[in-house]
Amino acid sequence: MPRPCLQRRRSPVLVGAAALAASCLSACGGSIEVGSDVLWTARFEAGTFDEWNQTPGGNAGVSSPTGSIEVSGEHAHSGGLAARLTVDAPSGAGPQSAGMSRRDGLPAEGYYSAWYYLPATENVALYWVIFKFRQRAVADDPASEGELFDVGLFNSTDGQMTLDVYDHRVGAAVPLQVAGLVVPVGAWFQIEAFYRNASDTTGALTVWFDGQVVVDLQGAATSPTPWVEWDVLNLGNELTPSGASLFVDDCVLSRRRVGPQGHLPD
Amino acid sequence: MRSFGENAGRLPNAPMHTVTEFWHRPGTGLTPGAHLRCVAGAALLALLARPGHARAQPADPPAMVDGASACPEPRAVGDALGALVQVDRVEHRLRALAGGAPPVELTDLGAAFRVRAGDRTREYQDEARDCGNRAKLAALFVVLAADSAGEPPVAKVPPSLPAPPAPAAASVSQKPAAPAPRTHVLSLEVAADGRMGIGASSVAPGALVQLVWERGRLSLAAGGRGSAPAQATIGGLDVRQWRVAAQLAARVRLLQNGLVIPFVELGAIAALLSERGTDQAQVRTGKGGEVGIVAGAGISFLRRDWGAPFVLVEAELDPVPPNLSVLPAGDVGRTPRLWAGAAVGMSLGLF
Repeated sequence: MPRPCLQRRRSPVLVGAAALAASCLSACGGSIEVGSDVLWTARFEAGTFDEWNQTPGGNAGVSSPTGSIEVSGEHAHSGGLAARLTVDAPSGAGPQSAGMSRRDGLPAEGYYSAWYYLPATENVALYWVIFKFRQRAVADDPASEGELFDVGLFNSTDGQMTLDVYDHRVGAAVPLQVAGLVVPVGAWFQIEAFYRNASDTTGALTVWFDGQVVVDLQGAATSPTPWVEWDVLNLGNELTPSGASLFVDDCVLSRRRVGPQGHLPD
Repeated sequence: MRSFGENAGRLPNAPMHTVTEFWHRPGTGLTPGAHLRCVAGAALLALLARPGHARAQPADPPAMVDGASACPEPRAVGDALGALVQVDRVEHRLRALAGGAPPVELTDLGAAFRVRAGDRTREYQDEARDCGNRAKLAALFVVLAADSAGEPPVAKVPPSLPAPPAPAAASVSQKPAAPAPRTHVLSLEVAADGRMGIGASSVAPGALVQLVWERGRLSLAAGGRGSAPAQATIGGLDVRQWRVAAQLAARVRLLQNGLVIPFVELGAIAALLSERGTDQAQVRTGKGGEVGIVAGAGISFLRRDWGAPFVLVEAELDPVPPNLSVLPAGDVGRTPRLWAGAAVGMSLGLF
């Protein structure tokens, strides 16, 4: 008995649908950008410090006789330029500082990130601070300003550079969560901090070094007022050899963690 | 040799069941009221047992039996009818009924065929497409329809009764007394749609519109759907998303007739997805494409001449969905790989 005509016509339809479905499986999805949590960046690609200086509360400069800042093409983390911060802080010269800062108008909480490049190892006799937060006891009284947290560099027992976090609230260094941490010389590294400014126990500070948590302070007041200052700087005291330089690039203030793989707006 | 009446008494009362049952049901007494049914039953016996017998009074197909049917052909039905009754009297009765000209109309539906006699219509399932048997069944139905007109036609009594033949291959389904709903080749489906991205914490209302082209049990559905903007959480990111999709699917009806007709479908889908961040410092809207396969199952029910309501449940698989990206983190997660949805709507017959 011959097969009904419909049976013979079914195959092309099904084959066609299957072929279409199979072709669809090979397509790719791509990426959809839905927004940005980056609040501010400084990438120095204009060859100036305008990204700092033209932001309310922002400043780039030196605060000691031996410091200098410049935009340099010698090293760059991204693009072609970075900031070069240099101080000459030999023994007896006292603290020497050069760098950038943002004060006031900062969010109650946020992620602060900067990339650094050390061209050479320094011997740190007292301190070498490269990243810090400051506070005010009275928000509108500049005279009430004080130190809060310092992230700095010093020498480990084998002479390599390592990280140091100092808590001015208690006047002591904060033990790192990572033992034997080595800060590279001649390579870029990232320091990122989450800082929540609070006068109650919700205050917090978390510090990442190249994406690795090294300090995580929770559950304590950080500052008595909403006023906050963030510094990316070269602040040295008794550094040898003299003329300690470091390069800074891709400074970011963000509502979302940046991380070593973070993407920044063009 | 059994008499006509004795043999006819073995036939079931209308409505009919299957052909095989005619030969195996226990005999019952013949009542005067069932006279025409007896006539029809006897005629059926004669038809099935002696195909091609009694062609002395063939009907005039153009006048009496017509329709675009290849199986059975109108002439074959006319011949079968002429072997049963005096055609002119049957025609007289049928013309007295509503239904229009011609009095008998045949429609070949592929795996089924439809007979209209006057205002009476029945549809018979016959996937084997036994055209000879179809002609006999159609003729029998015409006789019964004429019987319903009030005056029984005069039956031709076969000179001798045959031995019961082997059961016929065709299976004839009992149909409801009401005329079968019209079958449409092209239908428009419109529905309210709800869709959920699995893992995206989102359910979005929407709508579905598609054309369905039917060929027997198979159909091809092509159309689109859209989901209204809805809030979703993807990779910890709150976004507002909407989606439009076009799809092409092959559909198979699992039952040809009935109050509820289930079906399944499989096809391909291409979608445009719009995502907008809602809690970022700077939000923006981005769009991405998705392609994948769609599979579904549904039912249509309460069929009418104009169409039928339907319910459809679908699942879509997008093997490589787009990533959602937010600065500075970059990619935070993929849009749903699997979408599930349901649609409730109407299928409206167009042609």
